[in-house]
Amino acid sequence: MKGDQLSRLRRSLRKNAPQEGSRLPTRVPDYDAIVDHQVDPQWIEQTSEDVIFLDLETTGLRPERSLTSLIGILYRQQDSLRLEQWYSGDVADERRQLERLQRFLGRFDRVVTYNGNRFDLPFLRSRCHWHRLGGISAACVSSDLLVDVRRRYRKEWPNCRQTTAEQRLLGLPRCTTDVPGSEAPKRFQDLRGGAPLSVIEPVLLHNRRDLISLVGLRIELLKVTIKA
Amino acid sequence: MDSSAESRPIRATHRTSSTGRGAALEAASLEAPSLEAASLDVPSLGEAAALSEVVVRREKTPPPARSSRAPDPTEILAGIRSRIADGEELVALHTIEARAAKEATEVPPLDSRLLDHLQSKGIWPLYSHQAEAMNAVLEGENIVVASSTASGKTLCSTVPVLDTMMKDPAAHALFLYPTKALSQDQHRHLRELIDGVGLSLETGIYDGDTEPEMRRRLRRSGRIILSNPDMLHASILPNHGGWAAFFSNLRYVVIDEVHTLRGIFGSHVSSVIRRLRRICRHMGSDPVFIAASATIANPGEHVERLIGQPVRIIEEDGAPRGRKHVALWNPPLVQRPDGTRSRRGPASVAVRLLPELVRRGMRTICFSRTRNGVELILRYIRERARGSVDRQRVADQIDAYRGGYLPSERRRIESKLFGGELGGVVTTNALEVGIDVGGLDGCIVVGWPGSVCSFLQQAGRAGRSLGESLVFLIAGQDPIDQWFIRHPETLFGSSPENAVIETDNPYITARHLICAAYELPISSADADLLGEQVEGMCTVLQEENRLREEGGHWYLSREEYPAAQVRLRTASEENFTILEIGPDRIIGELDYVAAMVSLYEGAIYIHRTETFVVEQMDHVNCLVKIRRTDTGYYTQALTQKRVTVGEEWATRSSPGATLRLAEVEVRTRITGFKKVRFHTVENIGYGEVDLPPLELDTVSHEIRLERQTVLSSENFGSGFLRSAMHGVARLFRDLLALRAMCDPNDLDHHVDGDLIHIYDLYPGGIGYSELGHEKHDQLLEDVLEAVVECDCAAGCPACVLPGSSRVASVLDQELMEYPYPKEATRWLIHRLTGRDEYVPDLTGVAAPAATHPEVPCPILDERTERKVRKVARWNSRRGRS
Repeated sequence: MKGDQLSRLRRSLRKNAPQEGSRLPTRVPDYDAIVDHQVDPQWIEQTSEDVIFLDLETTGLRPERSLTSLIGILYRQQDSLRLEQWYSGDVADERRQLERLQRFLGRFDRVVTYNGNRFDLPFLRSRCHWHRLGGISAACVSSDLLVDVRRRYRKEWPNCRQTTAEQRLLGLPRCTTDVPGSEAPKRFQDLRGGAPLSVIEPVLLHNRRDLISLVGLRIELLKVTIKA
Repeated sequence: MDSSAESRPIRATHRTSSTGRGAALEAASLEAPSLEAASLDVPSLGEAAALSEVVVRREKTPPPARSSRAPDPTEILAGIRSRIADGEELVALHTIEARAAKEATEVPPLDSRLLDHLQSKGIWPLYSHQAEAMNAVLEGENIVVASSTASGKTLCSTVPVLDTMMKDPAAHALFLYPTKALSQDQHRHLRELIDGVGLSLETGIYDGDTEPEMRRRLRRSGRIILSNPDMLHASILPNHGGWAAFFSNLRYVVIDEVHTLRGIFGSHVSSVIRRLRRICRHMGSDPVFIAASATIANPGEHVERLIGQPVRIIEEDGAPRGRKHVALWNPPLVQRPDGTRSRRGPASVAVRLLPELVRRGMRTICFSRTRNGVELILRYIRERARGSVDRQRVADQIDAYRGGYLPSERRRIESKLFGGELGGVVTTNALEVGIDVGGLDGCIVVGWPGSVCSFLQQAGRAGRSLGESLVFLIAGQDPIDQWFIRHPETLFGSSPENAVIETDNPYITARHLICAAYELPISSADADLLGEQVEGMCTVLQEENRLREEGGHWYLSREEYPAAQVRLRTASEENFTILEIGPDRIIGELDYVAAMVSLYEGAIYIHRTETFVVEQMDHVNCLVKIRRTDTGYYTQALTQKRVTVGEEWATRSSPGATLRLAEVEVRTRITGFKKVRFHTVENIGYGEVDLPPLELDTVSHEIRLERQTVLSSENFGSGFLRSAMHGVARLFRDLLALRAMCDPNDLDHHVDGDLIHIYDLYPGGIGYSELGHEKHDQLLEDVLEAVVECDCAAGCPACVLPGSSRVASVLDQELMEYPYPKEATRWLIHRLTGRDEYVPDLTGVAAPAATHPEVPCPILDERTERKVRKVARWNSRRGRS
C-alpha cells in the first residue's frame, strides 16, 4: 500500500478503535526465591532434582475462555529449593511464559501437582494448542497427589482438598489471611481491569504456600505408600 | 374485443448485429397497425439459454377459445390479449422451449436408506447435475451448483452430507443461509429428509433468536448447524473453543444463495470464511464447501474468491422444464385530466391481470418491488371485486405475502399457497429465493426488478411443474423499463450480472485480522489463508496498538471482543412490533430502518388492504401503536439529503474543476410526508415529522465545477447543467464501481449546486472514493467513452439515465424531465477533460421522461431503502453505544 492510503487506513482504524479495554497489562515482576527457610530441612534432602512442582492460577476454569495468569513452579537446585512465579497479563505474555515453561520442563522427569491431571495439565495443553505451541510435559511423567490422597483417604476424610491434606498430613493450619483459591480468577480479572497490584498479593502468597506444601505432601504420601 | 378473433403473428428475422437503435425503431414502429413482427436471432445465456425466438405481435386477434378446462397458456394469453391488453400493449413475446429431463446415468455411491427414501419420494432417477454434484462432493471436491430455480439444488448438498453422516458418526456440517427466514424454511426441509430416511441426527438453527439452552445443546451435540454468516462471525468463530467437537470434525460447509454474498457484505463474508478455514485447520479438519447460486454470470469465479479455494462448477441443468412464454407488457399512454399524456402504472395492469389469470385457473405469483406496492395491489384487487360474486370469489383466492407479517401468518400463507388453496399471491422479493411454494403456472413481475439475476429468479418461480407457464413483465415508467420495451432482445439475450467481491480491501481485511487474532494468534504461516500481506498488515496494526507481536505470533494488544466492532452488513436485525390499539393485538413487525422511514406519527400503515394510522412510536421499546381508520389516502415520506465536508485529505485542480478528497457527513432527513389519495397522485395534504436525521460519516471524492463552467452552461437553459452533472456523477460512480470491483450499491453520488460528490456507502469510508480521486482523469475518459459509444439518441439507462433505481425524490423527477441528458453530459465531460468545447445538439428525439405513476410510488424504493438502512443502522449503533 502507498503511504497516503496507509495513513487513511490508520485513521479509519483509529476511529473504529474501542475506547474501553485499551489498558496495557500491568507489569508484575517474576518472583524468584530460595525457600529453604520455610521448609523442614529433611524435605530438601528427600526431594530429588528431577522433580518439579507446579501450580497454576488462571482467570477461569475453561481454557478456551481463560488465561494462565500465573505459573508457579518449585524445584531443587543443588541443596536448596527454588520457587518461581511467572505472571501473564495478556495472551502475548502468556505465550512467552508458556514457551519458557516448555523449555523448563524439559529439564525434569516428573511434574508434581495437586489435581494436575484434571486441571493444570489439560489447561496448559489446551492453552499451548491455542498458542500453536507443541505439547507440554510430554517427556514429564505427571504425579498428581490428589490421586494418591483420594486413593488412601477418601473414606477417612470429609474431603480431599489440598488444605485438608495439609492439616491432616503436615499439621499445617491455614493462615487466616489466606484467600481461597476460587477467588483468584476474580482478582486477576480485577488487576487486568486496572486494580492496583495489591489485589493479587494474597493470590501470589497462596500460590507459594500451595507449592511449598506440595513438597511436604509428596514426602508424606511417599511414606504412606511405602508402608502400605 | 371479441375473443374469437384470430391472431396472426408474422415473423421477420433480424441479424444479431442489428444495433440497439435499429431495434428501438423497430419496436417503436409497432404502434402502427401492421402485420409485421420480429423474431430476433439473439444468442442467449443462462436461464434464457433455451431461448428460441422473440416474437413480436401486434395484432390482438386470439385463436378461437377451446373449451378445455386445463389452463393452456397460449389460449390464456390470447384471452388476456382480448380482454385486458389494449392494442399494442403486449410488446414482445418470447418463448423458452421446453427441455426434457437429463437423467443421471450413474447412481452416486449413496447409502441404501437414502436411495430408498429418494425413490419412495419420487425423487428418482436423479438429474444429471444432481448426480454430478453428489459424486464430486463425496470425492471431496468443492462445488458450486448454479442451475436454475427449482432444479433440485438443495438435494445436491443435503444428500451427500447425510450420506457422510451415516457413514461417519463423528461428522459435522455447517449450513449458512443469508437470512433467518431462509434457514427456518430450509431446516424444515432438512428435518423432513432426515426423518424420512429415519436417521437420528441432532440439527438446529443457531442464530440470534436461539434460546441459550438450545445454544448449549447445539454446541455440545449438534451435528448439523444452520446459521448465517453474521452469527458465524460474531459468535461461533470467536468462541470456537466451545465448539471443539464441531470444528475438529467439520466435514462440510454449505453456503446457500451465494449470489447474495456480493459487494461489501460479500467481501466481509469472504474474510469470515477464511477465518473459519483457519480454525478448522487448527482443529484438524478441512471441510468441503458446497455452494448453491442463482444464475449469475460468474458462479465459479465468485465462489473461488469467496472461499479462497478452487471449486468445480456444476452449471449444466438436468431438470426438465416446461415451455415458458415470457411476455413484455407496456401499459398504455393515457390522457390525463390536466391534458398531459403519460403511461399507466404497471400495478394498475397487475390489478386486472392477476385476478384474470387466477380466474382461468392459473396459480400465479405477482412480484412487486416494495411492501407498500404489495399492499396496494391487493387492496385494489379487493376493491375492484366488490359487487360481483364471481370476482369476489376470485379475489378471495388471492393473498399478500411480504416481510413484516408475523411468522405464523407467513407460515399459514405459505402452506395455503403450497396446498393450492390460494390461487394467487402478491409478494415482494421475499418469495424470490429459497422458499418452496410448489408448482406455479404464472408469474407477473410488476416493474423491472433491478437486475437480470433477480428477474430470472422471479420468472423461475413459475413453471415448476412440467406444464407450460406464462411470465409477464409489466414495464414501469422507469427509463430502464422502457429501454427493455424498446429492446426486448437485450433482455432475453442478456446474461445475468457478475457477482463481485473484493478479497483484499485493506479496510475489511484489517478489521478481520483483529477478529482473527482474538480467535487464534496470527503467524506468517497464515498467509495462505489471511492473504500475502498478512505480515505487513499486522505490523501496521501493531503500530496502531491493536496487535502485539510475541514469538513470531500476533496477539490482541488489549482486552476486547473485536467481532462486536465489525458488522458484516448494516441492515438491522431488530424489529419494531406493530400493535393495533383497540383490540390490542400485534399485527406485524417491521425492521428498524424500514420502520424509521415509513412509520412516523401520522403515517398510514397498510396491512392486508386495511389502513391504519400510526398514533405513537415508542423507540425505546420498539413498539408502533396504530389505530384502524378508513382513510382515502396513504402517506409518502419526503426526504432531503445534505453532504457536509469535514476534514480535507487531498486536493488538486483539474481542467474545469477542483477535486477534493475529504471526510464528509451525509445527512438524510425525513422532513415530512404528503398525503396521497388512493388511485391518484393527488396530494391532499402534508404532515410534519420530527425525526432525527440519519447520518453517515464517510469519505467523498468531490468535484467542484469552476465558475466559468457554470456560467457557460447557462447558455443552454435551465436543467442543462444539473442534468449534465447527474449524468457525469452516475456514470462516474458506475465505472468507479467497475474499477474498484465493488457493487455499485456500495457507492452513492450527490449533486448539489456546483458540487458533485461520489462517496462510499460505508461508515468511515472503504477506499472506493479514494480510488476515484486517484483515477479521476482516467475515469472521466471512461465516462466519455461510455456516452459516445452508447447507441441511444438522447440518453438511456445504459448511459446517463438512472438505471435500476426508481425516481426517489421530487428533484430527481425534475431532472428526469430534462430532454437531452446525453448531450448535456457530453458537454460537461469535454469541459472536465480539457477538450475543446462540445456543441450540444438540443433538438431531436427526447430521452424517455419519467411520468407520474398511476398506482402510487412506493414509500421508498428498494435501493433507497437499502441505502437509508445502512446509514440508520450505523446511526442507531452509535446512539446506543
